Amino acid sequence: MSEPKKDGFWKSLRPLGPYLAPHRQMFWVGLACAFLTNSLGMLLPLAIKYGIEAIENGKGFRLVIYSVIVLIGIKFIQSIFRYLMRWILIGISRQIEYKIRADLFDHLETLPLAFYQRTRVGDIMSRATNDLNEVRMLLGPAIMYSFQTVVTVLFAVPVMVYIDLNLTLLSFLPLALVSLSVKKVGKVIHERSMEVQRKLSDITARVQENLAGIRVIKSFTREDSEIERFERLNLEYLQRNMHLVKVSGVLYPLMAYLGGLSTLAVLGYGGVLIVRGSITIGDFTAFLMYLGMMYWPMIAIGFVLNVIQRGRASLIRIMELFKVKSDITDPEQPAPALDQGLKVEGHISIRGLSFTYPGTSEPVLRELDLDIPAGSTLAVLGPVGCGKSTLINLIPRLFNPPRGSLFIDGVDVLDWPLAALRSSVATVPQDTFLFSESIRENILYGLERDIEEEEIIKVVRMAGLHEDISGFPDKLDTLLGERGINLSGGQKQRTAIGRALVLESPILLLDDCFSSVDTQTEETILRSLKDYTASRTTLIVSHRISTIKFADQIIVLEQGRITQRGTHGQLIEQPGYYSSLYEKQLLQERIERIS
Amino acid sequence: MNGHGYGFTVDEDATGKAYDSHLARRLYRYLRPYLAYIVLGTVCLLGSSASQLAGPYLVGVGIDKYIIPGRLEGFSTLLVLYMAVNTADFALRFAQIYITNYLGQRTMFDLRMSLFRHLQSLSLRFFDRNPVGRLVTRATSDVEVLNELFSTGLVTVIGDLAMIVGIMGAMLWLDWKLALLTFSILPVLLAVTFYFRKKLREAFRLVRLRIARINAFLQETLSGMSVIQLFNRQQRAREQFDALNLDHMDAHLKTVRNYAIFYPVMELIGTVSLAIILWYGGLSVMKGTLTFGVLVMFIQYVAKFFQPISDLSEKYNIFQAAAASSERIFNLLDKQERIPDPAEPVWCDRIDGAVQFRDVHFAYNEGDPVLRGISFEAEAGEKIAVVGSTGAGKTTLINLLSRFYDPQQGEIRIDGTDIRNFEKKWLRRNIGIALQDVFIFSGTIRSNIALGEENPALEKIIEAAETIGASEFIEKLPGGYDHELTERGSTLSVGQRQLLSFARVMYKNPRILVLDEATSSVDTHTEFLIQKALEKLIAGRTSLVIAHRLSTIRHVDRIIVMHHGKLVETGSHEELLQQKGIYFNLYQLQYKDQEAALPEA
Repeated sequence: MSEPKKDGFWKSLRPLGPYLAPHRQMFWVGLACAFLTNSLGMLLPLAIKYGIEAIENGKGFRLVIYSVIVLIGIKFIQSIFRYLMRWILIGISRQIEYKIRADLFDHLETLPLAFYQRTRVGDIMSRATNDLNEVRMLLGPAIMYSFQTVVTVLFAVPVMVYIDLNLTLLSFLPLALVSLSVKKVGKVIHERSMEVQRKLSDITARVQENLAGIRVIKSFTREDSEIERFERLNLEYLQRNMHLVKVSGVLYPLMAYLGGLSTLAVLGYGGVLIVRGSITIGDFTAFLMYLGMMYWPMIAIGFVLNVIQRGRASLIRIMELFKVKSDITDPEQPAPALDQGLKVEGHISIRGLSFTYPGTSEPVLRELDLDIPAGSTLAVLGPVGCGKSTLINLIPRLFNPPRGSLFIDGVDVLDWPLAALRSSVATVPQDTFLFSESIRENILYGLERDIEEEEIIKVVRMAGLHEDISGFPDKLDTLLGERGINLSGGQKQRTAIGRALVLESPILLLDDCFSSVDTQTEETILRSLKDYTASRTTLIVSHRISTIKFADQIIVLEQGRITQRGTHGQLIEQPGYYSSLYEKQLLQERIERIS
Repeated sequence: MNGHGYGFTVDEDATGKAYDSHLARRLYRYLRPYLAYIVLGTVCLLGSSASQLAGPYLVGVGIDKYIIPGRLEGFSTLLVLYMAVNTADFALRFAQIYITNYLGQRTMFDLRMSLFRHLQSLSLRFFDRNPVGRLVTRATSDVEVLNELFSTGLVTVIGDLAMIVGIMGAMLWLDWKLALLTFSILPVLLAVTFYFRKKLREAFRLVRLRIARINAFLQETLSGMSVIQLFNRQQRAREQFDALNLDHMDAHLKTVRNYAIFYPVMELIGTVSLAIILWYGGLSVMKGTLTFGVLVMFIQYVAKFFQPISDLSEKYNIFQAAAASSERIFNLLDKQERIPDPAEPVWCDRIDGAVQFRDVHFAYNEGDPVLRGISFEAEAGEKIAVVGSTGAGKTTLINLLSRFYDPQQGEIRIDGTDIRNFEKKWLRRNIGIALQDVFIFSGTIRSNIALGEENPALEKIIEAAETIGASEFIEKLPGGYDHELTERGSTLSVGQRQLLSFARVMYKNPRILVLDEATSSVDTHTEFLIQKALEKLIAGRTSLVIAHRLSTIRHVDRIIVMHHGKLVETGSHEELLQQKGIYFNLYQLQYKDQEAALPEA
């Protein structure tokens, strides 16, 4: 991401307007508190000045005590406003952060599969957390500190000038340098810590690669050279860190140094002024205190400038995500046939369907013509990359088919409301994706109605999961790890099958979902599914003849074209992909039976 | 400045103890080489503390000796002195930061190296059980946590304590009565600081936990977005996310509220102490028992009191996190899963390459045997093909021969010596392995062939590549042998990766070759290249080839057939076909299709 250009400063912050709007009133209250607490603070040195002058002139105890009481009183009131200021202003920024993140998530839910295939999850996540935090810093601390700085300067400087103009100028010189150095050094620090971060991710990648390839390393006895290589990288990381320390280590001492210079100026020149009699010791002490109060706001200027710069860049990155629009949306005018309460039959017809993935030139499907009557079963067979999964994915519109090529119950899928379309189609995808919830929650994932326990058990049995689950201590309520890692591949697939079966949708899509299930279990599942699929339109993709031989219609896809179609009985008679696969599987069974 | 970072890992297994003498002793071992830096850093820090104490003192002296009496001769000397002290403070502070950071970086460097070295020595059995991701975290994030302990924890604690003691001492020395009176706010100050630090610590722990949950949820949801959309579950995910997002905001608001109280309360305490000094000190000045300069000194010293106390209370977090991380690191360093080297290894300059398996039994997991009594012999220079269906135990033979695992029963001999009597490195140097799934390292073609050898001779690399027939495609790549490969070699085709892995073995030129042929299909030209390469590769070596190519079966001296962990048939291709056993069927299944493609068949 390049640095945003200077000219569009306000324009680039405009997206924040709607987020600030609901908090407008509280925001003003917060600013008012900031104003009050900071302006009250300006009275403190004056109270001390009068106290000290009372001591100086020996004017009596009472005045000293008065000023002490005033001092504590003011501070107390000031503390209350300071509390309110922080609570309101920083609180608002947290609420806005929450809102932006919620909106971002809503938006992400609308984006199509194609977006997730080309975007790394880590990249989206860093925008939803790191970048969002930078934007929050811009809305909260940056606004609060800059307002505080303005108020402090507006009040303190006139009083200081009133005490003595030259003293003010002299003591401000080092403080101006504080702002400047925080701004400049802060920027370099940020850049160098980015370099450190990059090196750290190099190290991470290196260790990752080394451990993933440990077998090769061991068999070629390259452990020592790997260690040497790691040592070099490790050393570079050390050097990058020290490169950073050279600037980060200078910032704080430098600020203290400049603050010291400022005190020195007041001590030297102020001392002369006292001796000359043009200011009192009370003035002198008050002046020192004002100077102390200016110290933090001067640091804040530099800090705030950097926060604004980074916050803007981050905001632009977040807005880039918001700008991505989905092309898979509800039709503007849904087909009239889909009015209320219509029962979906599940008749799929495919007419001259060709499909090319966006951004590629080679079509994956070429001129497919198919009619799948409601309640019938179609099996799709073919080598890897022939377009089987693409065909499956087009039906629930994970990708958009060309208009006029894919119809359900005579209505182009593009004219179906998305939610209606997808709730008519139950899918078992090729890559089993389970959520880190209980098995029960995973199975009931897509179900909107409540369900009897017996019904769940029935589904679990159909999916061939019953025995497995009985073996788990928590049965159906067993919690799954991330992506279901505590299940075997076959158990995961069967859970995903259960998740689709429970929906009882008119259309069932099984995309190669038995690949990790052994043949015997597969046959059991298929047998128990017979009744279930009899009343539903079923599309089944597989590599195993045993899975599909019962289908009403079988097609062989090769390089996106239908090369064979018919029933099992017809296809084994023809020479071709189907019959050769059939022979091989017979052989395999024979080998398995030996011994 | 509220600059805390988001930790992505949640330390659920942290013990929570901030100090553990056993851990501390082990950590000390890493610090010992750099004791000089600790001493130097501490000296700088003490010097800087001293100059920070000197500043207010000089201001007070200036007021008492020069300003109030109105005598300005000598005043400039004092100003110069102040300037000098200020400058010294700057230099010493920077030096201390630099030194302690260097100390932290060096220690991390050593720790990371010993972790990495340790990992290189562990056996494959260890890696089978421990996910790579977790190991990577140990070597990066956990070590990083310790850095904070070394660079800002240890030394600055000394500095903070010194500063507190110094200020108290100076105040007592200047005016013990006023000092004691001022110290009366100390208990309140300590109580408030530690109370809020504890609250904040809990609040931040909550923040970290909840941001980690948000991250985990996002990670999962974004990866499974198509499932959410297919099942119309956007609303449900939205609600789940909203709950997490709200929780996260609440946790943050807790920290905001705590800070919003903490900061003003600290300021209020500061003002009260100022008021005490002003009140009692002011009266003393008027009575003449205290000078004005000392009053100003007190005001400044009290202001310097707050920072070190607040800093100290923060150190607890650092110590706690460091204890948890070092515990995890040392746990890993304590893992001793290794394939042992013999105490007195057998040495010989070169081997002939006769391989013998004698009644070898092996299981990766107990009760699930993979090899069940395998015995066979390969004479030096003999070429053997191993065939069998998936899961028959073919790959395990390779794993055992290279001693990635040791058999539970039986023995494997090379030239008549049990391989457990050789040094592992020596053994592996004499065995060349080419695996199905070719692992490409990020780096150049050259470094991928020589595999990390120091200053490999380019001629030797080119020679290996030419013999194998890989030079053709390599020379076409931009940069030729210096072409940079991306991680996992995604820019190379399957066939090219095969050739590259053959070139590796050719370069290594071992006496014994084990090879797991790739099953994936490649274009005819590449297939031809691979066949030629394979002939070159097995020539003159004892070769054990898990064969998937018909051409390979035709080129070997003998075929052994494995089935369910046993050796069931052995003989030449023709002999085995005549037996009409497993090989006969396997041949029909796996190799017969290739007959048409084989020109000389």
